[in-house]
Amino acid sequence: MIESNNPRIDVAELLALVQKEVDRQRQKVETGGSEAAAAQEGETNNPYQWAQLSATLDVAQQNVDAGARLSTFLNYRRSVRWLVRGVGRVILYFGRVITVPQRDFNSAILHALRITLNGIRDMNRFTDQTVRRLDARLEEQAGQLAELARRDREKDHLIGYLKASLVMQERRISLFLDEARRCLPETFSQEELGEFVREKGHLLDSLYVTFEDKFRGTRGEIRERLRVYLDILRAAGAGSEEQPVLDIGCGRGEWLELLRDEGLAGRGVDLNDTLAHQCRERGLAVETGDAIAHLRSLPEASLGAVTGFHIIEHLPMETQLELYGEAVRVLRPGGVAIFETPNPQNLLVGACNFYADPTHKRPLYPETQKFFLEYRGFSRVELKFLHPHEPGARLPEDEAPELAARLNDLLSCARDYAVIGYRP
Amino acid sequence: MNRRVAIVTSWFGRDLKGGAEQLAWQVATRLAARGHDVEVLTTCCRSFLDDWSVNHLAPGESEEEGVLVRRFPVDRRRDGEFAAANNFVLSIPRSSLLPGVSPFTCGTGDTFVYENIKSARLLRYLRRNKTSYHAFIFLPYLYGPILNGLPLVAERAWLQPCLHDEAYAYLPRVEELFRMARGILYNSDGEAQLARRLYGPGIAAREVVVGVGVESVGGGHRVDRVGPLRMGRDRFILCLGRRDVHKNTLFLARAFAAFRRNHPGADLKLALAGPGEEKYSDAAAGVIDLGLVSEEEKEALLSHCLALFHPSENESYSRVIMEAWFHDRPVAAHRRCLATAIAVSRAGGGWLADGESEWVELLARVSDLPESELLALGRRGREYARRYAVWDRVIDRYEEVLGLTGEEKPRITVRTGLAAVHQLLPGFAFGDAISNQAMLIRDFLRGQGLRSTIFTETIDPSMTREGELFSGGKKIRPDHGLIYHHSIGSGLMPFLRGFKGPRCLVYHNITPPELVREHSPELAEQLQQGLDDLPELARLFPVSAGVSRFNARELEEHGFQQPEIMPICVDPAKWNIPAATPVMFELQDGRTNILFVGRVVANKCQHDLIRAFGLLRRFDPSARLLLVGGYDEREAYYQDLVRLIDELGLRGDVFFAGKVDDSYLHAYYRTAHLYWSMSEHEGFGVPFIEAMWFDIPVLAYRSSAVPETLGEGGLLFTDKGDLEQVAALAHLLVRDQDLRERVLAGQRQRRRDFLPENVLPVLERLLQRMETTCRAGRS
Repeated sequence: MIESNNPRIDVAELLALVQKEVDRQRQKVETGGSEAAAAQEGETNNPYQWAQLSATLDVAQQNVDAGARLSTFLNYRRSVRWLVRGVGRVILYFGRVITVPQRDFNSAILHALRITLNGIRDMNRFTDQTVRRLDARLEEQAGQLAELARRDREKDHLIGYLKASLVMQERRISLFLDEARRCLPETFSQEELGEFVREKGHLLDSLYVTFEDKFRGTRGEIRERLRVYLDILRAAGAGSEEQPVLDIGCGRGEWLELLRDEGLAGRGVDLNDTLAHQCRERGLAVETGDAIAHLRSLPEASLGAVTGFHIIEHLPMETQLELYGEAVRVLRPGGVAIFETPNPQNLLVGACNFYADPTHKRPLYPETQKFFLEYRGFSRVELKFLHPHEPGARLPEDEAPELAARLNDLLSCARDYAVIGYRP
Repeated sequence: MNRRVAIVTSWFGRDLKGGAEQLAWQVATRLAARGHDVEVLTTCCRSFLDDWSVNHLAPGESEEEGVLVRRFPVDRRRDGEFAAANNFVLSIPRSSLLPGVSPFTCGTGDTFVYENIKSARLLRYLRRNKTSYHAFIFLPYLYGPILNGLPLVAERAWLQPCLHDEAYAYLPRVEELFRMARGILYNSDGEAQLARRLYGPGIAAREVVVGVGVESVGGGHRVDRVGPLRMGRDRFILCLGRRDVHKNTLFLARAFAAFRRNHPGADLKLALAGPGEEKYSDAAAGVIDLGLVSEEEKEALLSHCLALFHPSENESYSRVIMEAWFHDRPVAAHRRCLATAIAVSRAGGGWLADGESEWVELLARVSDLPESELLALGRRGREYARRYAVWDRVIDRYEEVLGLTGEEKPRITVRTGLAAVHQLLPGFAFGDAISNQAMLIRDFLRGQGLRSTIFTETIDPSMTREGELFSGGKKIRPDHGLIYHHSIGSGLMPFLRGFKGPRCLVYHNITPPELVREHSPELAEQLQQGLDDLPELARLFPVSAGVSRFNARELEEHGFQQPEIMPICVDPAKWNIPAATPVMFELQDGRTNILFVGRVVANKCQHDLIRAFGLLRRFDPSARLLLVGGYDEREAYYQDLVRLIDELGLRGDVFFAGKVDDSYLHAYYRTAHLYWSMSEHEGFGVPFIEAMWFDIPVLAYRSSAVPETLGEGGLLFTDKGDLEQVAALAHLLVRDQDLRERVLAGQRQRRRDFLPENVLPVLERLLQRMETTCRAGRS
């Protein structure tokens, strides 16, 4: 296609270049050719030439008084120069009819232009700053977005893993059932049926987990609330390897996690299989099982502390007493038991909020619990009232101070209390 | 014969700082030392740095080193106004400077010219004593005595501009100086190239690159250590000169650091030497800043470095490059710096680079090159430096250019016994190639003392001063010579049949009628008649010439005896006129300008061009097609083209400029990026050669006389089948610097073949043959 007429040009090489150019162009058409648009965008971003503008105005300034002065006429010979100057002066004098208003006009316009220029300059500076600020913020948010996207990807990954493992579990179960059916030609024995029934109790486990997540508060909040007990534990010498803490009904494991972070040894037990599993996932020592049974399995004087947060209100009275009895047995002398529960002295809690959890049995009167602990053998039993309503939620006391104070005592006092006792 | 030479400059003295000031001193004293009668005409102002309105020195004559210095008092000036105008000029960003478009307002331009340093007495002296000098050298270009003095003695004036790419160079008065001076003296090839870019090829015929001498101090061999560098033991790259942002020193240091990161084992160092505020030392990266060094240390560094790296982008002439070459060291220069890049590529004494990665790569290459190769490159540089940077050679060139050697340049002369040679044309029109050739021949013949008139059957109203309407040929006597230009059928045949004097036919080719029959049947008829007349003309004209081998062959085919080849003369001096400002302004807007010059007729195939251009737009959406050449809106072909443009959605991107005058054509050529022809019939193709003079790459379809006209220049394609490929080729010619350079190199060589000095000898031969055949015929 190309004729070789110039020894400086290698035609074959040039043809290859041409083909490459054609191919690149075709590719660009396919991908939409955003290059041209980008190139055009770049052009509009031309910084304004301030220096040139103000230099132009300086030139205008030099001539603002046009018609007011006379040239020196140095190019003329001296003899001619005075004549030329005289004529010039006469012309200037008569020209004043035009030049005087023209000069006023010139300086007014020039002044206006300078004001405008300064205005534009300020505006430009302001725009520049704003753009810079916005850029910085955008950059920051882009960083955050990237972090979120990273976490999202991690979660997706995890979900994928869980789904796969679920499918595998189901398959295992069905294989297992098949195998079981083949091995067990007889109908299920009484014992086996009992086992199934016990399993049935766990059917609502995951519902409860979801419920807790929704109503109880975030993990961070719970951890902060539980921090008050740390000093009590330390004073009692609990939390060492020899005197660990046992948390009954440890739930999502906030307390155990706090203990771990504070360097205290602790483990937990929870009836809810799902929650217990989650805790183990977090690396916490939690067993699934019944609290009483677990305590019974422990040797005497083997624990530094037994704790139970929002657990005793789930138990019937007999079980409560059994719990306290077992607790005092497994604690070392000086060991502490802490049980937190909603405070029915707060009318709102006692009359309403308590029943938010459908698994609660009945509100527990503080003094009764204190009595139960003492009855079961604890000493130095005390009540600790916690979590009053925020001051903003209280009734204002300026109009009817007495009434408001009384009502506040009833409605805004501590929402929870803990009963705390020590093994003598 | 009086050979007095005057150097006109604003300040003069041995100890003045500045390149131009030093140059004036050197040239004046060195010419005087050779015994020439040299004077300096200057002012009483002491130097550039002093107040230009104050006479520090006494007026009158004095002698300095054999040079007669005449000082003239300076006049008072409006300092404030000049300062404002000057600040305005300096504030203009380089990116907004466009060749051919004055960046000044009328007032600031005048202020700059007339409130510059001025001396009315100096100007008066020039005016009165013009004839008592053989030549004037004005330097440099941007001061009052030059701006206002040169026009007074233009026919004897040599301008030595010391030109930079700066706003002052765009002042219309400066362009006028270049146009009117008898000759222009440049310090370097790069400077000449810059001037052509700014003012077009019209000044090319009068330019001479004289060069500047570089003096070596010597004594470098006594130094064996400069700073921490051990001469002869450490391997290092040298960068000499002021260290600042504009000189790209920091840029080079950065590139070097990158090179060391890529090649951790390299022992190469980078030595920076020269004045500058900031220090760039970076021991870890091997960058050593030596600061200001003595002349001896500089010599030592130059002779022991691997190569000199000169990354500055803004230089008009670089002394250090020549110095490096005198030490046989190769040089790396910035590809975008016209002056240094051209010196390096002309000399072949080093490498060019652009962009950090290219510099890094180059450093790696130099680090690995054996000494023998470095030396070979350096030696080539030395050859170049010997030609352009040794004072004796430079002064030789001044003597030759100014005509001080006593030998006159031989002029072209024609020996003929004829008293008059007239020319006869079927048509005489403005801008037409045949008419231009006829005028050139006439002017040449008149210059030789012959009478010569152009007679024509039809004449363009604007050309009535140049030619005469043919009225039966009574004015052409039988003892007069006649040159008949044949290109179309005409009513001149009866006269030609009867004319028996010395005669010659110049054949400009006839467009094949079938190419235009469809759109212009009348024209086709005339063309056909022209063809039919050829056999008879062959019998009538014993002497003939075609404007190309292609045409000569056609003449032979029709029975002409031994036709000569007389190419059409294309003289760039024709373009020594300002380019039309509106076009220069409009077309330098960053878009790619594709140009074709030729009448809008079917055989020129503008339709193919428009179609291919539509494809080019895919490669380059900013491209625009300019069709310069006469057209008739009523003609079917034109209307077809307009329809085609609409169909392809190219309205607004294809322009019919129509028939334009020379200043407009000049502007179209100056702003074009590519000359693209799809024409299927060209008898010669003057615009190809013109495009070559404007350094526009030519892309042309191979047809008729096109390959012969282009010679080694331009690019020829042979196939219109795949227009996309042709469009890609066009795009490459615009964008690919390397390809472009190769094509332009061919064109620069080819265009010289059409200069008058290469064409007129053929005319002389024709005239002699006319005489002898006529005499033989009579006897």
